[in-house]
Amino acid sequence: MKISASHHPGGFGLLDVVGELDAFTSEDLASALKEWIAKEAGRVILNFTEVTFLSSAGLRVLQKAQKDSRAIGGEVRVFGVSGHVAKVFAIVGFDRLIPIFPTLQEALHDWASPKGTNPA
Amino acid sequence: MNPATRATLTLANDLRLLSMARAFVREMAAVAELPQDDAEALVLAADEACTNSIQHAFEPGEQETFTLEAEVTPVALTISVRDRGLPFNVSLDSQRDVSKDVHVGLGSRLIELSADDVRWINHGVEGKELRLAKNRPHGDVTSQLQPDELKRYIESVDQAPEQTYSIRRLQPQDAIKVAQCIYRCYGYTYPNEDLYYPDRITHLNQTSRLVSAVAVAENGEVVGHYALERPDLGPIAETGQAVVSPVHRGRRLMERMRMFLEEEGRAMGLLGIFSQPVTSHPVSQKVNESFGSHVCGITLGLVPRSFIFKRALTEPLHQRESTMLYFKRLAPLPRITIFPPHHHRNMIERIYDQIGIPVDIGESGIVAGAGRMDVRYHRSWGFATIRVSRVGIDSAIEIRRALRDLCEIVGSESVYLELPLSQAGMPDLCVQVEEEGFFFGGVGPHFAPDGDTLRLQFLATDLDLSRLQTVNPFGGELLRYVSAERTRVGKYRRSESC
Repeated sequence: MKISASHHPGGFGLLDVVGELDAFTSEDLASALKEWIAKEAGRVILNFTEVTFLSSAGLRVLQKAQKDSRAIGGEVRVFGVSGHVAKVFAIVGFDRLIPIFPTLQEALHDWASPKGTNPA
Repeated sequence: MNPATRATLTLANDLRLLSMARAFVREMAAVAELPQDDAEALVLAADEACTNSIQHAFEPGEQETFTLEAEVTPVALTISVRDRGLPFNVSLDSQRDVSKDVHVGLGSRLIELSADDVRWINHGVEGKELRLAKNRPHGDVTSQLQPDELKRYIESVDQAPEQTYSIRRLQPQDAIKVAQCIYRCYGYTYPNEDLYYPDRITHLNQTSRLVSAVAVAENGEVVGHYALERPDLGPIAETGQAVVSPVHRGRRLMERMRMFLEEEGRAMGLLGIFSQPVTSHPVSQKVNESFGSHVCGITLGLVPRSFIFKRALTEPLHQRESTMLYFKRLAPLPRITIFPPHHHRNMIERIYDQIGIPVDIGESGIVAGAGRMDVRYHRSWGFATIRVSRVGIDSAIEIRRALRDLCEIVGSESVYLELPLSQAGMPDLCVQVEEEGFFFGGVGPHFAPDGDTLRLQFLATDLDLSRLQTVNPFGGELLRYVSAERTRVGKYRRSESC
């Protein structure tokens, strides 16, 4: 699993995640989220376009990150979720916890609103 | 392909190897020709199971291994994750405050939602196993027949002419006709979905897990089905999966198939057969009475509301359906020693008198060592079963934990508990589980590997018992006893989580 992180001119951290998020690889995501939540005052967007597997370990990392972000006035958002990964979000109701968007543009456009449009 | 294709992978308890476990399951899913979605769902379930083993089955720093076993049959791909570590806790998650986190048991929830069948098996000192199954997608009957061949039977139809029927064992070519008959009678609401898949019907018969009798008309058409179900290939079988085409009813075909199956059962060496006729109407209970079966239990809330009965009922059920438990001996049964809980002794002795098995009463005793049990969630039915094969010092705790997880995480509407009547430690265990809300359900003859079981039940759903109908006077008395016990244990329940 690979993570590429950068500061986006829009004023948030953008993390591109590639590969499978399981109990082992989720530790790297947790570390990256911790770093960028601190750097960007809690505003982080995750690119899940190339995430091919997501287990409960990955979901718990996202859950904690969202809690930490909102505690400092920010939010974690995700875009590009598809296939079985999208189903995992939906079947355990995480699409209500983590705003999910089809594209980065839509994630940015809706930044001022507390909720996103979550794909099925 | 061979009847069963198997593969085994042994891995160290290292999270870095999870990707290897997933690759193994993906390859077996390809062998089983699972659709992509089903394959990924099973991969997820297996990953969660492996993660559970690695993170929770061993002491910190302990270097051990666990095993994935895969089996492909015409019916399903089954993945077993086995380890020799610490006992199960379905809800265990070190990151979580159970009282506050709405995502309790997230991994277990994903397992339950991703697999078609899930079994948690505690093998005692031999370790534990989580068995996951995903049904194979071979076309069900609706993909193999034309729409006009699948039209629902209508109430007012002309009877077929009087004719001679033959009753025989199912042949492979009959399977599609059986599936067609089931579909035309029940639509897509029959809870046992195996009957919609001709390949599964054939495979189950070939492996003796199903012993099907068919009624055949003079033109060679299969017009009825009745079967003995033996999923564990034990000494008893359940009768069921019965259907007769409406245009051929009233000709005693059900009775003839039942008699045929009893003879088949005797020839196979079965000790007895049991059935679970519904209580929303008296018809099937009367049929069982006419076959010489006797009441030995009541199972509340067994059948989902979506099950529709043709002829007997024309509307969806108001509540989960409850069933009587009937048993018939197929062979003389020897005198046995049982260890009933003192407060249930009288009722249990009366049940044994009904079913004609002589018993001696033993004194309860103290248990030692670890117990063994098997927990299974039947997703299409919405209930779970817990079978204790060995009463141990940890049995009460394990049952309590399983009950909480089944209700809170899995969402089971009812849980049925089988305790071994042949073990002296069972009476004390019965008292302990009744404190959790389990109440009396009857006796299960030969339901355990070492003999009979005391059946208990827990309901996480409302049931109006006044809607139940019993045709047998003893059955009515047993229902009143079960109802009273349900009320009694409700006053003493410790657990508030379910």
